[in-house]
Amino acid sequence: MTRPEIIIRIDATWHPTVAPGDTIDRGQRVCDGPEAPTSPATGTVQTLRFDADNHEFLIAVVPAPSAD
Amino acid sequence: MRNTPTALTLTLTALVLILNVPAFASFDYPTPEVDVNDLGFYQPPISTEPYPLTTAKKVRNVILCIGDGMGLNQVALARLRAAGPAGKLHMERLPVSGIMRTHSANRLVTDSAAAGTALSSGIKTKNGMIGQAPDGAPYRTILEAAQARGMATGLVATSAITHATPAAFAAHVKSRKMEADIAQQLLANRVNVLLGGGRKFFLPKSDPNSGRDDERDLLAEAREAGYSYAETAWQLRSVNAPYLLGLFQYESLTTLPPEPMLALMTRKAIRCLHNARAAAPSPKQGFFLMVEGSQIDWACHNNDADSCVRQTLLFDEAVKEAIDFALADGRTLLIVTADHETGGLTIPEGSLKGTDAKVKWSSGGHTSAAVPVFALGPNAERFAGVYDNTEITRRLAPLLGIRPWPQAME
Repeated sequence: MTRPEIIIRIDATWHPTVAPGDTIDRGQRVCDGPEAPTSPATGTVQTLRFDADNHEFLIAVVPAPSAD
Repeated sequence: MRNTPTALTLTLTALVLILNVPAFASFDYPTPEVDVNDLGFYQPPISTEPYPLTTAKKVRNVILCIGDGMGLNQVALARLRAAGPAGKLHMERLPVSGIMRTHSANRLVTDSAAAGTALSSGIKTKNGMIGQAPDGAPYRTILEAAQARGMATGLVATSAITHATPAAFAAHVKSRKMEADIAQQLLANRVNVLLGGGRKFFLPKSDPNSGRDDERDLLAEAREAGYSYAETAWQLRSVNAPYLLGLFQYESLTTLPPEPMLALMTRKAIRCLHNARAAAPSPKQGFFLMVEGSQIDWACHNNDADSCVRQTLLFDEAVKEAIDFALADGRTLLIVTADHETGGLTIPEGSLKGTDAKVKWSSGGHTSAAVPVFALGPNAERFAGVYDNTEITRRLAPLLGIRPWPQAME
């Protein structure tokens, strides 16, 4: 069964440290800024999109099948 | 001539439909396809000679143009593509130049909220905060102080007019995300001219396009407060009013026709503000106008060099409007700068043609790179040198008779 993707939002002031296709671990930082958000799940980064109106990057992560 | 009345009726009906676009109806432009590599819209300066320094000392009007995310290399790349390595953009012909640091109160790398606050109020604050010191104390903005001295005021942007940079000139909130509150404050502050996007923050919650969580209808409130309103370039061209609200998209502008381009919005804002002061009881007091090329930043977040060039040239066209007015007026101080650099853009290779310049990006975010300042008009020479972003209004306020500066609000 396909798991729903998780969207991680980060302030676009900071540089995203993941890219589409990257494998990402649960707890991994996703940008280089202070207090950087971390991924809530292990999985694969599907898309990385800049949301201009909210000045954020939206990182879509598809959790791995074995992820909790 | 049975057809004549029918044709006339149809013509009149069409005219009525055109002219009777409800003043507060919602209108969104379609997004046409555009070739961002087509720079045919842009006319680089014929001369590369600097504009002359003026001997006049009295500043009547101030136009502050801010290229969001526009570092030195964003300017250089646009120059290379549009005017060649030996050419100049219009902003580069301003006779005075400086270099500005951009760090915020809590970060080496600023965001537009803290940088906008530094540029507008002369204080450092934390990233994300608008018009407030780090402890939350509100500080007067140069726009508010100018208004208190009887000057007309205006804000123009290609983002939502509630976005961080324009907000920093007429709002005081703890977070840049509070755009519904910012919209209220922009109107409550009686800014004469507000042109940009962000209509959704002016619509009541019951409107399906609203970005508010209450039922306040700020468009209706604006009308009651005496604002004329425009949603299209045609409407914008036809209006000349001392209070003008123009919201051309629900969110940010597309920066594509048939929307009004930044240059047109700038020209219209200058005309409305100039006319508003000419008709005022104290016409000696001029105006303060901030114009933001908001989407240079966005292009650089996407590491999109072509879009970066296009947005920088659209901004430069707006700067040219300001230059033309300032040169004709003689007592207008024009300052062109940026809030921060975005993308860590460098230009590591290319030929002397310039058009084939290659770029590299070191970041998808902002950087702490210094940004340029260009100035023209009375006392422009005060903006030469290397200094902090809080210095812009610290040098500007005394020229407008505003003391002390910065000013904490009571």
